[in-house]
Amino acid sequence: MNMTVNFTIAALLIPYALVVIFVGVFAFFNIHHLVHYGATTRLSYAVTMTFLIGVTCILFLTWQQLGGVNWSQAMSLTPSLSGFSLPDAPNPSQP
Amino acid sequence: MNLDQLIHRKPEEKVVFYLRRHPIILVSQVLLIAALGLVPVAGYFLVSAIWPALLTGAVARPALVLLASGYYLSLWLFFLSNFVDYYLDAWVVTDDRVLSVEQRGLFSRTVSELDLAKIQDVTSEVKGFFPFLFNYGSVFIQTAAEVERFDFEQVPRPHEVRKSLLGLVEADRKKQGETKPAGE
Repeated sequence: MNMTVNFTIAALLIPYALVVIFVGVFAFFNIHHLVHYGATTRLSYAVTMTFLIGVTCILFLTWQQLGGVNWSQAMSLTPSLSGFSLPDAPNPSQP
Repeated sequence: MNLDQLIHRKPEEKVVFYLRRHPIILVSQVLLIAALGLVPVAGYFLVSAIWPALLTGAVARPALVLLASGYYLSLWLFFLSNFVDYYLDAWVVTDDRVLSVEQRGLFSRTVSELDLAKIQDVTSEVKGFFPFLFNYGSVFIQTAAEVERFDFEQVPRPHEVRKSLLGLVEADRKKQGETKPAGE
């Protein structure tokens, strides 16, 4: 039996959005800890700024790389076992 | 870190040590993150050599870009979390007490306090090649209090810290002996 699942490649953005939300929430809590516990020194500012600049660069490069993608294009997943075969059963009449 | 906000310093209390893990610990974490950052680059060159069509496919290319982007975002978050964990762990030794402030993960923070007079024994340990090379290690403080042991982890110059701590304990005992009323 062959079961094909069709969807547009925009569906790939859903797990990516979840990762971005996860990173955003945890980054917020990390920066909140630094501010809340009074760890607002030059080093912590530098690291926080490095982090924010890095995230901006990653998101910008991702957006640039994905500029020409047609997100309405369909893709399909076909789970198939056609590549596998069971070994032949031994014939009891043959020695 | 704002010390006064953290320890509510007494009027005549002096901070003798303010310890964090050795900076080499942070550097080693940054190097690990840099090495992990090279994994997708190595993967890119490997795929372009073995299966170049995958990098230009209409579906595979955006999928790989999103995968790499998610990976780098997670790695970058790992870097920030490691820094916060390093920076918010601190051990403060004053001429009256010892404070341990430890950030355990993102949502757990432990602050413990110990009176110098309750210290029974102090042990310092430098164990391993890199700790020996960069002179960092642990200081274990045995106490008679409820929290039986205080550990300073991966702090610079642990042997000097132990010696100074024992000196402070001695001085504190003398000071307390002087202030005790006669006959006690």
